Amino acid sequence: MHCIDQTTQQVAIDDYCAQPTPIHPGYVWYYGGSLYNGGYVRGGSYIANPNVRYITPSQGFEAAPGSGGRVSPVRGGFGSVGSGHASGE
Amino acid sequence: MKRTRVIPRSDYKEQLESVGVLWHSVDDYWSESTCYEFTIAEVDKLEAVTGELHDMAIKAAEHVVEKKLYSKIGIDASLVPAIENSWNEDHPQVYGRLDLWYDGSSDAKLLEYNADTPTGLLEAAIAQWHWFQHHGGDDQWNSLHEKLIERWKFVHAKSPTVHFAALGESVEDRMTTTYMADTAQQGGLEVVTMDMQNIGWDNVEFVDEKNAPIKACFKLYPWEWMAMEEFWPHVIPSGCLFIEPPWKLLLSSKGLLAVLWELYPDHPNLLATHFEDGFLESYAKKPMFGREGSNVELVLMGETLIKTEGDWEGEPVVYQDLRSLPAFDGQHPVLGSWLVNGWPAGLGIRESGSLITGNTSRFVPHRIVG
Repeated sequence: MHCIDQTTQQVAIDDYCAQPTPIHPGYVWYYGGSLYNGGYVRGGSYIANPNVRYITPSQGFEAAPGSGGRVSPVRGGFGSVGSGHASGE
Repeated sequence: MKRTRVIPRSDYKEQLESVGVLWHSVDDYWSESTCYEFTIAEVDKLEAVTGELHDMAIKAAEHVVEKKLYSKIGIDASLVPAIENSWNEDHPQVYGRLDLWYDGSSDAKLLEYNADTPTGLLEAAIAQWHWFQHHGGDDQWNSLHEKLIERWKFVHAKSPTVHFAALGESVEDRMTTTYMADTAQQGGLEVVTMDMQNIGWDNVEFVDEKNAPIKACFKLYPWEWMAMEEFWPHVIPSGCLFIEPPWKLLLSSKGLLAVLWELYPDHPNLLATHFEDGFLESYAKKPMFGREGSNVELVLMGETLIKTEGDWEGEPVVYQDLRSLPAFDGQHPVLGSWLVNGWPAGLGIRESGSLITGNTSRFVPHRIVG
């Protein structure tokens, strides 16, 4: 989770939060270093745990899909572990 | 329960290939010169045991969630949000397989629960059914196909389209996934099959090879591997309904066997299992997320009998009371008791000359006689 500057509404991309980070309606939020600008957080609250990397409905937030923010898909983010055979526990 | 010699079908290889079991001869995987026979009373009992063990496993998983025992069963903290999200939102399960020790006379014992990516599905559901149609018998414990179709009808209400992803380079994985997609299609769903490595991320959601959104995805690929990969942080934000859901990790960890023993000590269908060494003189030491018999050590009265190699050296382990597999003509069978949505659904048997069942153990069909 990255910090959000409450005045400029900009995100400090390279600076991880040391303190709980307020999340307010309409803010673009980030996680894990990747922009997630398809989702806007509704309901003013904040994440109490600075280590939380996600905002999920079960945590009391609602992320609504936006219309913008899509980019050309990146692929290969799954399927690189193992030796070509994944079934069988 | 007995092991019986039967005459193989003259065209059994062609028969197997016609239903997609293309790997039938790899290490003589498919074996139909023998079969196992059960009485209906034995199957009734195994069916009841399977249902009871699943219910106990769900209660044990609930205990892990309530008490936050994730690290104790070998689950890294990074996996917990996805597990809890899918658990709290009751994301649907489809299938799983209990591995049981059984000799036909004593109580069946749970060896482990393969809850995320169980193997041998196509063989159990279709290939051995065709074998049974040829050889006959009173019946076969096998309602997998019908139950899978019914289960997909339930999933349809959550998402009418499901993507089916597997490692394309593995014939076994690809054909098993294709079969699963077929049952979903028969359940009325739109299906798309694809390679796991071709799943895309467009900053909003997962997409397929045509950039269509993936709203629900059956993946024949373990969660503990996905958690190590680049797309892992997108799993929750994507909103994608994965099948099996992340909460199935709670069942597939062999750490759950020790939790079960703590919650149900001396249960007739459990083997004593502990997180620490020192409780048992003879035990099977198993990595909590080991696969296909890798890194298993069998110790009898303090002496190592067998130790297998693998990629899970140094990983968290459990110590399970050593119960040598029964021998039928020198072969050691493990009963794979299938479940669909937690309900008993059929049987697949793997046998080996070794006491450790691995990827090359043979699949042997079964039937009910008497």
